[in-house]
Amino acid sequence: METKLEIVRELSLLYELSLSIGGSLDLKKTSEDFLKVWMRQKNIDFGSIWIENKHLDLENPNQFSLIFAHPHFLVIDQTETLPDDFAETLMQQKAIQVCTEDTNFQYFKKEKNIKSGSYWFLEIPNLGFIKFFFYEKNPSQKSFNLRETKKTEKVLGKLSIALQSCLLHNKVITETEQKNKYQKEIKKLALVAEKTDNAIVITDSKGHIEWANDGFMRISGYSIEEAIGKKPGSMLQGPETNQETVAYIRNQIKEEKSFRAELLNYSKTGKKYWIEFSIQPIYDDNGLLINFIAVESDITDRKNKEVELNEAKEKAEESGRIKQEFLSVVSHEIRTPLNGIIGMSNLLQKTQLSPQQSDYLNTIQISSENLSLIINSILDFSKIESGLLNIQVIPFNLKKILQNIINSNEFKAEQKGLGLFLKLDPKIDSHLIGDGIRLSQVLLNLISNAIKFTISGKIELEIRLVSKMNNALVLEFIVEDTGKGIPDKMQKIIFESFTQEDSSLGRKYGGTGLGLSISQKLVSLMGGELKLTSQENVGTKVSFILGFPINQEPTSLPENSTVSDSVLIGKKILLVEDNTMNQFFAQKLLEGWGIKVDIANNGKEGVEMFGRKHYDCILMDIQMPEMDGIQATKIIRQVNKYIPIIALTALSVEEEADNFKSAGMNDFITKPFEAEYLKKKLIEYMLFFQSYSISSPKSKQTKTVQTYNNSLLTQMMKGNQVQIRQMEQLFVNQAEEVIKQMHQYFLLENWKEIGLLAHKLKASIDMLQITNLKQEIRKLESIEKNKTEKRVVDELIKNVTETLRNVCLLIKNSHK
Amino acid sequence: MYFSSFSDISFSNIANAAKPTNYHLVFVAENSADEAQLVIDSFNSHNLKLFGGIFPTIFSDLQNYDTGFLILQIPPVEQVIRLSAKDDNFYDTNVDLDTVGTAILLTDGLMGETDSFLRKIYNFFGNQMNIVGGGAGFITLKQEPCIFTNEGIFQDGGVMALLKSQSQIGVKHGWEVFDGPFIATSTEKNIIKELNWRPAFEVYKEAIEGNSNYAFKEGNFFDIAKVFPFGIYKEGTEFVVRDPFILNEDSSITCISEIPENSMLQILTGNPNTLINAAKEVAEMTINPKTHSCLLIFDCITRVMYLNERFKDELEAMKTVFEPEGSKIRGVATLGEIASNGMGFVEFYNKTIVACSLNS
Repeated sequence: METKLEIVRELSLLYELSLSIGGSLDLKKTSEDFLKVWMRQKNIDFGSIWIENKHLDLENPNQFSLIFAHPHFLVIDQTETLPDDFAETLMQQKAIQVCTEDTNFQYFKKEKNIKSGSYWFLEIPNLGFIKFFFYEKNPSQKSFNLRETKKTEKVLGKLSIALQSCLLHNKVITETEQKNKYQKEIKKLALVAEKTDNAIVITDSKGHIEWANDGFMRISGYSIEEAIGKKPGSMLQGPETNQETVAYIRNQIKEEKSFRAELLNYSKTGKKYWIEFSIQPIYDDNGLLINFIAVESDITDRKNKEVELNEAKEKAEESGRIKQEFLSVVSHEIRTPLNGIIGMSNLLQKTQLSPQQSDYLNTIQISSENLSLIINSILDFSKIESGLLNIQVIPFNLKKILQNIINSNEFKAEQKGLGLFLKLDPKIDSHLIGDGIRLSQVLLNLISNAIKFTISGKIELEIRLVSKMNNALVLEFIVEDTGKGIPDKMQKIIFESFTQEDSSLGRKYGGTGLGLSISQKLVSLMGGELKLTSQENVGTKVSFILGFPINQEPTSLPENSTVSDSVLIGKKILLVEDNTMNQFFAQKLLEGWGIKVDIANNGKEGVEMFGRKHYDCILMDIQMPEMDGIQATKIIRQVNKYIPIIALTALSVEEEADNFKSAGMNDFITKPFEAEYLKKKLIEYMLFFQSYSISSPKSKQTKTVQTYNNSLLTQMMKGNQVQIRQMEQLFVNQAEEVIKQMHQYFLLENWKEIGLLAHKLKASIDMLQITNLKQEIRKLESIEKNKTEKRVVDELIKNVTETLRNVCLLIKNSHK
Repeated sequence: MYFSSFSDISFSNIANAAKPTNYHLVFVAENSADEAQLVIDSFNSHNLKLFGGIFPTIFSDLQNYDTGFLILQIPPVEQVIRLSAKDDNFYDTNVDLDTVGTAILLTDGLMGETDSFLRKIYNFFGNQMNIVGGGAGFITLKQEPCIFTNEGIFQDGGVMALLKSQSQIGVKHGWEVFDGPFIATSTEKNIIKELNWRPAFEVYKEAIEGNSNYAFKEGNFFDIAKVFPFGIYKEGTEFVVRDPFILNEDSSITCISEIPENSMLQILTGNPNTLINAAKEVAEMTINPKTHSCLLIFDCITRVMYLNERFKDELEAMKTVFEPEGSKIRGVATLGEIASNGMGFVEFYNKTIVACSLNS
């Protein structure tokens, strides 16, 4: 029998437990308040409250999650699964004790530091359970029994309700928060819908307007009241509304699809306006169509602009086309007479002229050559601009190109006292495939710019091997100078067409301002990018990287560049050309080289004449009456595969080059052509032809030792004979003067002055390729520095004097 | 060993007797508190390690001293940790807690957060070790630095020494039900506002005056209250004693530590005989015949004051148990006693005697 005090104690426990419930709507706090009272009173070592996941809206609905544990540090796992039979027993018995010796003790032993003792599981009705633990040594363990738990059943019922209230409270709070959030968002959306510039229209499932925003009113002119209940189509469409679009819209709506369209509408006042709109069907939870939402924007301005833009575009295209046509015509129409002018003045130069006439003629030649250059630049540029310029993919010899570039600029550089160096990686293959002409054009332009803008120092052309594969290589081309540099702000602008760093530069240095722009575009067409780095007063570096396939079968043209002009003597050439002035010019030129020339007035005549007689080469105009050059070439090639046929054309040849080639032409020369260039080509092809020709005997190539050679000078003067003679005369004067002075200084043993004289003459000696003196003059130049013996100096001066006198004599004779 | 004054202490002897690595437990009696820093400095200068506290009185054998020092050799200490009541992450030790058998915990007995501090300790250190100790401080009930290590004297929080030694702990007070039960219908931490839905003091006064010859007058609350503490029911053990010590103007009563709301309280009382008998029982619970052990006693200052002249009898009663085992009585009068015998919470007792024998 329990004593009164014991009963009071029990009542006190139940009282305290009851009061611990409901103090809070927080799930954890309620659990904590309840457990701590019980644990304190009953001296329980560990206690925890678990709720089934399905009540917590968590995954694994049959698992239990920990709500509260004391002391919490003992907890390892926050989830618990009760075996089915155990859960069932707990539901029936309300309380289960699991002691150390019980089989499932190990299963439930999930807290730290627990070895032996007893667990108690008490059901929290409809929610979960309480898990208590007593250590073996705990003296209170024994007094906790089924009778004890029976007393607390009702309190546990209350705890369950309290905890359920907490859960509900949480749910309500979460839902309210969610609802508030949604409402805020809805408000925001409503505000956006109302205030947006776009028109927003909501219709019912049949398309009758239910709601429209201010935007709709503003665009259509109809008030909301006027619009409600009506179909947008009936209100807004008019005579010019595209009926196909209307049909499309009806169809999409019928099929409940979301879509976009543009449509011409009419406002209330009858004003036409364009809208772009999207329509979205809206469904209820059961998937039933309830509304359509249309968002419309006024695109009238855009539509108008589109029309204007189209017109402008057409105009621009038309004017581009006209420009291209014009340039094409200009090309042909200017080049042909220019060819005549250049050719004729060249021929005129060979006649007896007074010095004054020679002077005038000289000016004509320079001017016409400059004009030719400018026209070529402009044509190139306009072709690039209009996308008509094609990059060739043909074999070329890189080394040759580079050497030519250096050769043709060496004199200019030397004149300005600048060093011009070529640095070519020896690992680079020379025989490549690509557009050698365009590459050469770019490099020439860059070098010529560099020379133009460099006052002292050097210019370096470097070709670096970036990478090499089996059959292709990537090269970096670098042109670096020690010139005045380009200010930062100008570095971008100078790539623009017709722009030079300073407009006064044009006057000072000449040029169209197209060079860099063309170079940049050519490089870009070849797949590279022109890069420029420059520092004012330090120098400029322009570089680009290009890839080229390696030509596996390089054409074995004779490399011997010292082949004498004599190879041309006695050769027979068929000139097929309809323009009499061109006929005359070319004939005189060719005859001047000892070539026998027959003339055909058109392709047809050309074919006939070729059939009758043997020729070593054919020069073929392209555009001719009766039969053009292409046609004629094709016919000739049917009977002779080897005879060199070189096209002479005033056309912009790049786009025609393929045609020429496929017709069977070996090469082409653009009119107006440089005499030297023509000569070079003729030598090249006729030698080449010789190795195939069976009818023409091989001429013996003799290498004559020349005391001097004016080919460099000729190249520099572009074949201008007047200038060449002037230059040669200058050299003679200079040389005679130097010889005289050297002898005077030798008597005075003034080595320094002799050195300076040698230096003065050095460039001219190199220019005239007086190879005998190449070393001698340099030795003389440095006699002071090397403290050369008098005897040696005497010897050197003697040699130099002798050779120079010979050269001067030869020059004088050639001028007679 | 007891020293009546700082000048009596021979640090060189202590140094010679001790292993350099081990700690000394030092108890300082309140009236010698001024010399506590000198002791620490001397320990430091002799490269000796210590921890300890200042207590109202200290006792050695049958003597209770309010001056002097007890310097005790104890079994090897793994680590001494200074614990703050304010810092939640105060604990960072490299000692493997599984190997710790006993922890001696000395707290600032007058700090406000003793209950939460002990809960924190329990959560950190778990329930696998015995924890024993008491609240240090001054009888004036004025909070001052009262716990110390080699680093100096502190207040707030506590000092905890972790030992591998196993121990036996005895806890008992001997107070018995005088009247009750009462329900603490309204409390706030350590203040009882209502008992049985009425102002607490009204009910307390009625019960005491109705069943004894004591009568409350202005200024004599504590004199009577020290005889009639509250007891909170705890299954399977004695009541947990809560000392009432301040009567507030609103008739609420402030106790030494926390009273749970809605808990059932009894008013307890004791007579010297039951208390002294409890001391004997504690000694018997603690005794370990197998080993020659180190004995520590934490006896509530209110018991010392209540027993007054007869406190000597309490010490005597323990001595009769311990002396045949070769253990000497050494201990302190505390402001609250701490014990956890490896099960359940670290409890903060009042008016209780806690004894512990450490296996050497």
